[in-house]
Amino acid sequence: MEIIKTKNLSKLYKNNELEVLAVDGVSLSIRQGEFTAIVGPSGSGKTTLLNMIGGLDAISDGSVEIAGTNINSMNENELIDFRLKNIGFVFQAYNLIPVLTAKENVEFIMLLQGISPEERKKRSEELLTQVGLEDKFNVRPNQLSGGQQQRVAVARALASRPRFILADEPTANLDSQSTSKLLDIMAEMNKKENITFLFSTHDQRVIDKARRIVTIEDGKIISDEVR
Amino acid sequence: MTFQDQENNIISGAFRVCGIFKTQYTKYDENHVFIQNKDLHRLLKTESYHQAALLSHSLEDVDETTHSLESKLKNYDVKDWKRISPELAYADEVMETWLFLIMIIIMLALIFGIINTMLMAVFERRKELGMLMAIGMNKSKVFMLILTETLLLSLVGAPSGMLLGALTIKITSQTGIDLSVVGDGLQSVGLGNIIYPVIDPWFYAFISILVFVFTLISAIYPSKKALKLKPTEAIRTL
Repeated sequence: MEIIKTKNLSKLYKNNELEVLAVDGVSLSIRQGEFTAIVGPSGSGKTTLLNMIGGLDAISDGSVEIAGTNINSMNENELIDFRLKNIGFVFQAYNLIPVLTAKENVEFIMLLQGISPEERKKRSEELLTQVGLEDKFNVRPNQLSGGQQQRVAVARALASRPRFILADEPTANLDSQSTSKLLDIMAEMNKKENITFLFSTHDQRVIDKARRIVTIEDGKIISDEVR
Repeated sequence: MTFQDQENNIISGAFRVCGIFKTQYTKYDENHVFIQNKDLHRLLKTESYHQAALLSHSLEDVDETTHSLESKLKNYDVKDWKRISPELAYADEVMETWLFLIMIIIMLALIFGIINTMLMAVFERRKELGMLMAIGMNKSKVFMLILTETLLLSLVGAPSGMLLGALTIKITSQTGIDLSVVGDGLQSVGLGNIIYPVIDPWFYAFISILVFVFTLISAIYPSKKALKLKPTEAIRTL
């Protein structure tokens, strides 16, 4: 089943007289359960592509369909609601809420979804255990290492039971050990629970782990390799 | 001393000065002399009085008492303190106007203070707010978040400020505030050197309502700023 489908997707940035085509007619199809890495050098359009798929950036041309729903015509509030129900995000800089504990950070997205406190507690503890942070429930982000914070971010992304996870350079700020552990956790979740992951990265360690590699350069797909 | 009796005859009497009094009202001191009742009765050959002064327990009772006396004592001239001492009434009026102006200045300071604090809070946390919008926190919730934070800020600030104010009033209402530096000026309008401040309890309630309303108004601008954040730009901010 196709979960993400983009058709001739383009993004044109206009800055005074200067026009930059960051994404140029990208057509891409991601199926349920794929573990895909979008790779390419800095400025190739990876993040912009991911942002448009996640409904964070406006589309200049083309279309994005998530599980059969076209998100182009949605207004800002509809997009926010759509993201809450369908997409999990993992950001490069973790972006955890500093005043909340690891468990509260994971619970927060479920709070936005209106899930009961008992279920929130149960699921957040389960997810943190899954990412190997069973002893860090009540620890605040500033007391966690970068790798641990990113694992909390993965747990948070999964908490809302999204259709897929978008991860923008998730390992960019991590050391080898933390990267390896994070990738193992995500690969295991993908394998066991059939969770779809879509990364943007230029980290070789992530590329090695990915089962499909889409290479992008100057906003265009130049290769699409399935392993 | 020379004055008229009831038949309009000029009466004179010589008295020895036994003391010079000083009140808080210079003009009163300049125009008044106290003599013994029995001496006055002897000179006037009568025991009647031409004036009586009443001291009210509270300023609020004055108007009612004046009206009631006016209706009962038709043949007498009944004057309240404002008619007896228009300078003092004027000073009181000026003081009220100043108080109102000071209140406006304080409220403006409150509005700008809150806007400044909350704008800083929004800009400091734009990465966090951008992330919240990215993962699915809708605009009304973001708006409510900033609004609630602003209200919490005033809920901490307002009672603390009022408590401090009440304590200051409590202490100074007993010890008084010494304004003898500007004593001459104060005495010319009938005010003493030492002021004993008093605030009605309703004033605290009034201020609480004002603070609440102004806090709500001042929260709108920072909240709108927060809503204008673009998640992609906010997340990228270091």
